[in-house]
Amino acid sequence: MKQALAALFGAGFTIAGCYAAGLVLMDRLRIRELLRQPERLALAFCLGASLVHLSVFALLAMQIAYWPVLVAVPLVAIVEASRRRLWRADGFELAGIPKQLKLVGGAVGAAFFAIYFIYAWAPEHSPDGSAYHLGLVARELRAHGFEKITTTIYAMLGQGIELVYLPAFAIGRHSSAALVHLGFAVSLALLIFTFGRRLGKPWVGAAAALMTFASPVFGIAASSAYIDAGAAAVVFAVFYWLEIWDQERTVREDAWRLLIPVGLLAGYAYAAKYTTFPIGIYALGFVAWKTRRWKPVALVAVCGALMAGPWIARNTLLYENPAAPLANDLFRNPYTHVMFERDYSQYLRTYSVTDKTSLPLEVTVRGEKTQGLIGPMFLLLPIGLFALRRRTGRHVWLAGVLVFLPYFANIGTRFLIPCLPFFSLSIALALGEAPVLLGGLILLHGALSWPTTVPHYAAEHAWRMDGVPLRAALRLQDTNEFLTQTINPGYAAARMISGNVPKGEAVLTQGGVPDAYADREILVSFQSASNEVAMDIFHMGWLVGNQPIRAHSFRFAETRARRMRLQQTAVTPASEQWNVHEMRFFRQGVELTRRPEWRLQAWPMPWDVQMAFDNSGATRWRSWETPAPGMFLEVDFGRDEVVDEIRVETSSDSVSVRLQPEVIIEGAWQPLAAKLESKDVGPNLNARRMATYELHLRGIHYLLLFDSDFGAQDVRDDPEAWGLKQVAKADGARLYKTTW
Amino acid sequence: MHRHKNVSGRLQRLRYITKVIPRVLAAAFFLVLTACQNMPPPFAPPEQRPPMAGFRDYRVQHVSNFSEGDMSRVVADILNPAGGWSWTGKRPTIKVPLQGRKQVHYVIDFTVADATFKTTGPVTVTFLVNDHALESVLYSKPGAQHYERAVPLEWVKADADNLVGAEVDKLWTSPSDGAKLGLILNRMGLTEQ
Repeated sequence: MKQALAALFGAGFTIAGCYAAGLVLMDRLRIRELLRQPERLALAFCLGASLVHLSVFALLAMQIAYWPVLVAVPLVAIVEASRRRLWRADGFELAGIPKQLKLVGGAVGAAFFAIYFIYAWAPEHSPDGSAYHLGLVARELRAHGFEKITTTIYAMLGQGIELVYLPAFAIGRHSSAALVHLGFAVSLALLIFTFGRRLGKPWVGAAAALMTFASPVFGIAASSAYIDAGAAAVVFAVFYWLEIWDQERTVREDAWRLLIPVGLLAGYAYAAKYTTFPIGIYALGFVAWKTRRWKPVALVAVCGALMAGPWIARNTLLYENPAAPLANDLFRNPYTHVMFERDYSQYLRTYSVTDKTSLPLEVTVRGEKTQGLIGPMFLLLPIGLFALRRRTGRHVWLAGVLVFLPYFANIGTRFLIPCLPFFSLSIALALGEAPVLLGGLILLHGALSWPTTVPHYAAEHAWRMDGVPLRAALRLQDTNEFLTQTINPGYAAARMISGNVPKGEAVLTQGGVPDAYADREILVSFQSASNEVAMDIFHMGWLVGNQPIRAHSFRFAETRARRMRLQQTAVTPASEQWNVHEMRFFRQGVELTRRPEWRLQAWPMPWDVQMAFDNSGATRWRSWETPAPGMFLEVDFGRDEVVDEIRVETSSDSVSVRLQPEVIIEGAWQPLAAKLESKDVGPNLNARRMATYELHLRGIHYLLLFDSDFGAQDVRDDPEAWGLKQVAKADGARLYKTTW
Repeated sequence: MHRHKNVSGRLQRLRYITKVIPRVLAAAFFLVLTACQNMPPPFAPPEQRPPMAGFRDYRVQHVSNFSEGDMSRVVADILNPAGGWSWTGKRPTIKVPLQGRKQVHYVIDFTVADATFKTTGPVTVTFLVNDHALESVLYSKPGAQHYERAVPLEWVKADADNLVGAEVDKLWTSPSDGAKLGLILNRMGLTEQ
């Protein structure tokens, strides 16, 4: 129970801190009075969250994010708001709320809020929340600052919302973070509702707010330590502030001040979730179009840069890529492979939806392939086109379409959440202020989205709420027992890791485990370049096809040269890679000793070039992208050497690659007339031990394998031959330690 | 006047389209150009790996441990364990993949249960590899049993699944649900010695 109360307090305190910070900034900008009293709450919260995020960013950058310091951030805001007496409810009211609306909207809203609240209050058990969202938060709290985490691409994403979780997490741990996220979700619903009231259409506002709030995918995401509802709230807040500015600019000289929150929130949206960047474009375009002056646009841009800039700078400094973990083809770096980004992006663009015409039904009704559903009522979206008749409707559509565009880069249903407020508003606006129609819409959508109704029409494995864990929320059910049941089999594996792996050690694994509960570094095979290399080494231990079983010898007339290289000349299938386990130079059959003066170079992946020159059959340099003409492996001998053969040891999985030996003559690369001889080499019987030895050399001493993992049975059948010892076993997962 | 204002507005908009937007795009283009190829300085050769010491050839231990709930290789007649007890039917069988033709040993640990023995009396168990009978053994007492024997090389299928099983001659019929049960199986599989 103590933990349950701590979670509530942590969340409440952080939410109050965000609200207070927003009030203080609004007061300092003298824009507080421009807002209607009911809309102030949610607008101030979102604005304040951006400031809290920036403050926590600064603390992390300074490596002083100890929990008392983190807690001081909301506390200072609360004290300052109190000192300025900003808590008082004053200012203009909005149009009243009809009694029927209070009854219908209030009942539906309260019912959904109640189940969301319990769900969020329960121990965090969402897939991404218990993995990287809170895994990173927990890690930053342990390290008291940012670390250069190169072993997961998720650490490279903006953490705009997660940083707001940090003070809450410091007090109430995982559930606090989920409750803060729910705070964002409630703010969004309030914003949509008050937006309708501002238009003099409370029914429209309520219907749109509840369409978004009750949407099944929104509900489960908002009740977990995800970030999507938070990002959606920030995006809609940008739109809202712009609408206020548009109204005020014709009557007030100082309306430009409203552009400061617009810019801050637009930048914050990017920091929260990259795919919401179009709201920044919308804001800049909207202001430019309305004013046709550069100064207001510049103001928005500068304020936006204030929020987004630190993340871009962090990524440039730490990961050599301002857009990390994206755009790796443009900003080459050693941390994320081009091929991984290409393949993963391709998957995210399609999931398993082969027929794109089925996508509307998939994301609204079935929700299995795209992991969640927004609800069948969103099939009414075409009706929303009637909203284009009015100016506000056109604004809603324009912003909505822009925010929707990046969806095609990731067609997961969750990526529609930032668009939901706009979709909902357009439908509600199109129906007009008609209580019967909108009341019916609210009730029908509420009934169809209720967690016990969804299984009747959605796919069996659609991501949705599957119960209301009240006993777990109140901690009447043992938390470990609850998490073992709900995060199966990952939680047991995470506890096994915590109990058996010393602090400071990392664990290599093929699938994810809930990092937020593991407090050791988990190296998931696909989540970074170095993890991919480590898992490639592991598989080389048992997959003969990955071992150096082919030798290609390029023989040519004795040539004296200081620099030589092999250039790849073929256009190959997209799935292939250029692999070189070893590259050796010979004269009359005697290998040239690799002297320390040699200098090695490669393109692409120059950072891995040493793996082709380490005399290990368990490592290989790989292009990690489709081989293309012009790629090369090069050696500068440091002095002239006489060479008559270049030998490449490689695997059988790069069949289309064609190589041309080249030598520098008078400053230019010239091809050597070489005769190619290829032969098969027997598999290395000691490859398993060599593989784990290489992992050991890279500081990886622990390996977690689930029984169904690729290669797990091979290890299970003879761990000793691998140089591994099983140290623990839990729920179909085995933990091995290297024996070196 | 109104018309003049409209014209002026349009001109301003045109100016935006023709001047400001191209400038912004040009700036963005040059920003992208800053994304040059990130080539680190060349590397020296790393430490050369010596030949591996402590070599031991890989020995398969394809043994399913049913008391740990390992049902991944089950083909037939092995029931999911309840409370760590995995009952068999008449002919419990698992499949064991083998790479190459190897000299392997058949290994099995099972229990003739007291409760069933009272009804069935002594039972004969035949140990099978790819439908070849290794041996038939009569068990005239209840209790835990271990059996192990080399498998003739010619019975082993290289690079394929091998069927490993046992056949019990008498089954016990449960009076409560009519289930026909043979042995309590703990481990079964092939190993390299």
